[in-house]
Amino acid sequence: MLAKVNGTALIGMEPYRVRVEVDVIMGIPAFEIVGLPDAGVRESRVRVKSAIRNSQFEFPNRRIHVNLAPADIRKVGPSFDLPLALAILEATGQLSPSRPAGFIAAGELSLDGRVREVTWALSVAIGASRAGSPFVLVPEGNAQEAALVSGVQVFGVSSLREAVGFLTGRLDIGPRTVDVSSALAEDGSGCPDLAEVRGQEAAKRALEVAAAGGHNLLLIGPPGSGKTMLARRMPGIMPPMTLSEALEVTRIHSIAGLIPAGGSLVTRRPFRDPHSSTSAVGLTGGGAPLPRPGDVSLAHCGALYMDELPLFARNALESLRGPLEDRKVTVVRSMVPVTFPSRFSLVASMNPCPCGFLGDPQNECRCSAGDIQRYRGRLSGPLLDRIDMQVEVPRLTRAQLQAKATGESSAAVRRRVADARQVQDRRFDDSPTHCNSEMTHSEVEGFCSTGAEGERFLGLAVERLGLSARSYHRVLRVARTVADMAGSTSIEVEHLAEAVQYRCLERSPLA
Amino acid sequence: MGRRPVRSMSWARLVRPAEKAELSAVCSLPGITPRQVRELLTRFGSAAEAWSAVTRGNSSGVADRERMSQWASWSADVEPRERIAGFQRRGVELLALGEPGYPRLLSELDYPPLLLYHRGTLVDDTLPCVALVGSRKATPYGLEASKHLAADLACAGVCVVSGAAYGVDSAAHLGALESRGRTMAVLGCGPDVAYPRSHARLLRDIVSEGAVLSEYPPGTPPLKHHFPARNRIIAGLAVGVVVVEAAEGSGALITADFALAADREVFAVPGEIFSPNSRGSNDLIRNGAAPATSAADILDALGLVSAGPERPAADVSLQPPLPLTGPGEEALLDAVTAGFSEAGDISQRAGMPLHRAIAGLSRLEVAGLVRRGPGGGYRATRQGSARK
Repeated sequence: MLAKVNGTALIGMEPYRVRVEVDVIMGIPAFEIVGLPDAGVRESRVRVKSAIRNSQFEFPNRRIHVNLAPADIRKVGPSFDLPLALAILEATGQLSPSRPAGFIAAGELSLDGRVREVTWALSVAIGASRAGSPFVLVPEGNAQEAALVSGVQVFGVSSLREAVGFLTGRLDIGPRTVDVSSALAEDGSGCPDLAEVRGQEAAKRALEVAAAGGHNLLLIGPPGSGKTMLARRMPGIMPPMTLSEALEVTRIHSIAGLIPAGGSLVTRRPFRDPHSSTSAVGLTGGGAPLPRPGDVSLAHCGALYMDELPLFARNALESLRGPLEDRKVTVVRSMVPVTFPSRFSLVASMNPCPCGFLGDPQNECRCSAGDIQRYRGRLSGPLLDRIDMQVEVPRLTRAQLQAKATGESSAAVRRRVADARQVQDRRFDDSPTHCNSEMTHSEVEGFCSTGAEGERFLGLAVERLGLSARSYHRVLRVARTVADMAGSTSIEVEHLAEAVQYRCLERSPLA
Repeated sequence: MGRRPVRSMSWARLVRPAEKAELSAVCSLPGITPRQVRELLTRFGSAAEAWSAVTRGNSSGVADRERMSQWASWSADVEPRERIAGFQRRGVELLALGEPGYPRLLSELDYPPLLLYHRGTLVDDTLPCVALVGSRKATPYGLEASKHLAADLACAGVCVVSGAAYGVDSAAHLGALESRGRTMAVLGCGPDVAYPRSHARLLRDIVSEGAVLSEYPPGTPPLKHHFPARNRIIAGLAVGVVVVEAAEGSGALITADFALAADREVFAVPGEIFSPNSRGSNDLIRNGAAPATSAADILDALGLVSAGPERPAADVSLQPPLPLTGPGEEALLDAVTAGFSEAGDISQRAGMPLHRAIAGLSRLEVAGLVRRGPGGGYRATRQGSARK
């Protein structure tokens, strides 16, 4: 007898509906699965057989053929256990569903018949919603997550018996609901507060400008000057996520298996902090058989902190250029392109030189000129180009360290940042650009004109401070943000002057 | 002065300008040391004889058998005159010790270079030379001091000599070039090799306004042990050596030692007593070097009258600064000259919001009144302090 139950496969971010077809026929007992199952899916056979038996059902002692259609997409992971078991039960007459057909099921089975959580449950629900399925059957631990999606009913089950009971109408389970808007109203208090940072007023200002305009920021300073502390506070001064941002972030984290059982919406902007030994694939994503999002995508809508930037492998640094430019990562697997979004704020840190003491008023730098050139040379021109702002974070004096921390709180800064973002929302209303740092060349021409005095100032700055011509546009974008923060529609010399100070790497340390 | 005249040194007498091609070839034998060169000259009596003997595998005991056969096979492929002609085609000329045009002061060293390879024109002996040396990792203060001293010295008709390295050296060459004065660079590699690579353009400019010279033939790479040796040439060319900024153990102090040994004047530019970057140069002053706070200090001590046309020691690198926009920037400049260097402290002292202070300091920087160090600290420049 033939039976079909729907499951879901995932390619990158996109769910694909998979028909689990089961045919139980006469013949030498066998249990075959076709349709490009990977090793984990083939292992389903053991789990399904035991789970069925241990749920007081009968496992057919006949020939079982399973096809996972469409047959040319790889099927990966244990989420097909549940639909497969249900299809076998239906094919052997042990299950006659009274609920509407066309539902989608997902879940891993334990040998004792319990249903275990899967990753990417959110994507399963999204796929079901798009396909117009009547409902989704997911593990209990994934129900909160799947219920975030509107347009489809979500039911959570904790065992195979429960699933069968529900489908035959004998068991009554209510659809899961989640109050999304209250979840989102969380005030971001989990993020460390800017007020805890002592001194470093100039660096804090740079952090605020970076958050306001979505600019990437490089912190330069000796070890222990507080660069990491500052970077960790970046998500806390960014405005709260919108619902669609939160859903997108939750989806990506779900795919990466980062949503814990029972977890639901991710409400806090992500902060990723990869170690400098991370490979290019770890940073940008990829891997086989199923491409997974890298740190740049896990930091989507949040901040990516790269401590000791020159210590990252060269190819890892080069791999950043694409995501920084396009704000997405595309990986090709078996000729199918998979895209992960990657719109993040980059905060990077580095020492001024390998020993860290160049420019320190009290300590002598022990590096040779060659050491310094090589260290700085690890950051290629094109990569540095995409980092709009650079600011020094000097060592604190003893007096500063011992003084009380009396700076502004993150909440106060966040309000100003949100105001500046609103100006940008209005400006870029019907354009794919979200913020000043994403402006295209023509948008820079349109929104960042500076007037004669501004031109003259910029020309002098290029000449006297050694600014490169290609950092010219970077300065204009940052100046636009500074002007927005000052509530000014035009860009004045004052705004340009501040923006110019954030190009400190252009001045050579050694003449 | 009481120096032994060079000619009395037996081996130096054996350097005949007519045989400089052979001498160059001998000096370039693989692995040969300067002492071995002198011994060959002494044993064979002339460069030409020495060359001829080496080609035949005879070194009269100067080298062991393995080295001798290495020299013999190397020299088999070399025709000395053709080799020199090749250099000349690439723009490199050769001067031998004792030849007219060889700088007289340099020849007074205990061990002057036997051969000088150069691009451009060496200054003649009527023009006094002053060497400016210092740290490769100079602070903005050191760079500014070097550039201004060089510019003023060049205006006064002095030729500025240095090593074209990062930091003080290149700042000195730039200062002299911008004054349209003469400058010479002594390299630790062949005069056609740009080291550091990023100074290729600077070296080309120096060749047009002066000379780039070296004791090593074209193509020689910048090996570490070449640099102390070339520092003696820098000292040897000059009547006085100015150490602009040097940390303890800096190579510039070696140049100062060579200068002392050759009876040349040694000056040092005073630096902040807390700055580790000036510890070496300040120590020199403590040990008797003359402090140099301006080009006038140096010219007076050397008894040099301005040899060129009278020109104000102007800030040649600056055009008229942007006008200050008012009291805000005055207050900022006051704060900086009072010693506050961090933006937060400056804004507090000047009584204005931080972002205004940052913008104002930026304008002051573009106007040339303050400068910014690699740690982000602000300092007043010479003009900035002069406004007080």
